[in-house]
Amino acid sequence: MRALILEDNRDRRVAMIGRLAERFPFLHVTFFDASKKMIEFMESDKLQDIAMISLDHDLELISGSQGDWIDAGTGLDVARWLSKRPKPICPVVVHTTNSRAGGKMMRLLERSNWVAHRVIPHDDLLWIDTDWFRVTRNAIVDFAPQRRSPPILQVENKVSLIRSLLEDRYDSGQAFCKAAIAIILDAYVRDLRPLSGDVSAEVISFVNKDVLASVLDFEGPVVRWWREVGFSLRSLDTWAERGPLAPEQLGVGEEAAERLSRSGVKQIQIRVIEIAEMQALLVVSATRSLAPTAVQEIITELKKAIEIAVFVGLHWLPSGKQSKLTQKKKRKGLT
Amino acid sequence: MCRPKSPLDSFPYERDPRSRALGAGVEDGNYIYVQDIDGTIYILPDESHMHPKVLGNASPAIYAGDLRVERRRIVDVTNLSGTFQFDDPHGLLSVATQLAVLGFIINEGAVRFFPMDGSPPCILR
Repeated sequence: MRALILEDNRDRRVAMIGRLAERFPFLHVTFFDASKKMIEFMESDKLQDIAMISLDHDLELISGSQGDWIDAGTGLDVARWLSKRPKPICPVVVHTTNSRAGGKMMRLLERSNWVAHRVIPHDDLLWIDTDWFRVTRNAIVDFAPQRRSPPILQVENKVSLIRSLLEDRYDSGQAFCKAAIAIILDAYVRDLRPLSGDVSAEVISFVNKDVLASVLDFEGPVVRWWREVGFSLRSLDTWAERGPLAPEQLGVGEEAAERLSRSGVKQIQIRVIEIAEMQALLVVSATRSLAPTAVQEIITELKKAIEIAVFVGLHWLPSGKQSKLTQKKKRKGLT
Repeated sequence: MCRPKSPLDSFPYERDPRSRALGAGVEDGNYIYVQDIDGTIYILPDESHMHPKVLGNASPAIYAGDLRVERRRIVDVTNLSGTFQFDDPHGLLSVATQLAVLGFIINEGAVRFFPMDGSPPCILR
């Protein structure tokens, strides 16, 4: 997106570009100090992504290289050129203290169906921060967007994308799962730390109904504590999907709760990960609160990411079979 | 909802005393908004470099942008903020849903998303 501005005053330019950059960091702004230069630019440009034009009227003479003075023209020249175009391309803001010329520019633009707005400068540069920016912002927001759906990548497409990227790097789905879960946990724990203090997250799978094992090669503070105090396997299950729980809310007795608190854990949260026949637990513990909405959103996203990784792992094809399939598809021109 | 983001300007500005949770009784005008990590939307009148002062202290946000209110209707709501630069359309839709829950009527076509790479903006709702 671009904006074209006819303005020769340096202070005004600085104020305008500063205010626009605060709100439209992606907007490319081009300033002109003479109407002729602006018209030449517009004649040579396709003007497809112009979101706004702003025009001053009175421009200072420009000093030439021979010590002469060059007439910079006026905003009216540009308004006249715009009015002759077959159709309007974007909103125009007329910003000049010259009321007579400003009125003329407005009438010319409106008669040729341009959406034109009038801003009258006042109080040195204050008008740029208030009136001009408000009018400009509203004009761009009203004009620029086109109706279309947001780009959404379907889950199935995400899965096949992950597979296509990673299939050749792992011999088995299990190896892929282990690597993917480690990467995912690490990334999300880093996101959670600024919000919840020292965070630990791990995934525990059930080997059988009495034995569980960490999917990765480490145990977090909750599982270490759980083993030390020797609770039954079922206790972890009963704490699952109950939201953030403080040690004293676990119903494990004062001494056991105290022991968990002493290890620095203020809250834990256990979520169930269930894909096909497989069940696992995501255990998150934190030294600060896990309750804020944003933290909950991250944990939900973390759970989904792990489920996708497990889903991909479960549908893994042995690499030999995969490459044969790929070759077959290539022969048939399917890839 | 989006992943929390800290303001690009990390100076710990004081929270502007006019910053308030968006709700009934907001006057017509242009505002900037910031959604804090608990999901509450705070607003300030649209003035120069105010986004970092809505929450203050370089606090992270889960979404930010600006909006225009006219007669209790949301004329437009966007993700426009140079300070936060949220680039997820779903986060903006989530803000719009919250505005509706707060009792605002959202005009048809008011939810306007501007991709931060400068590609063409779009109307989400």
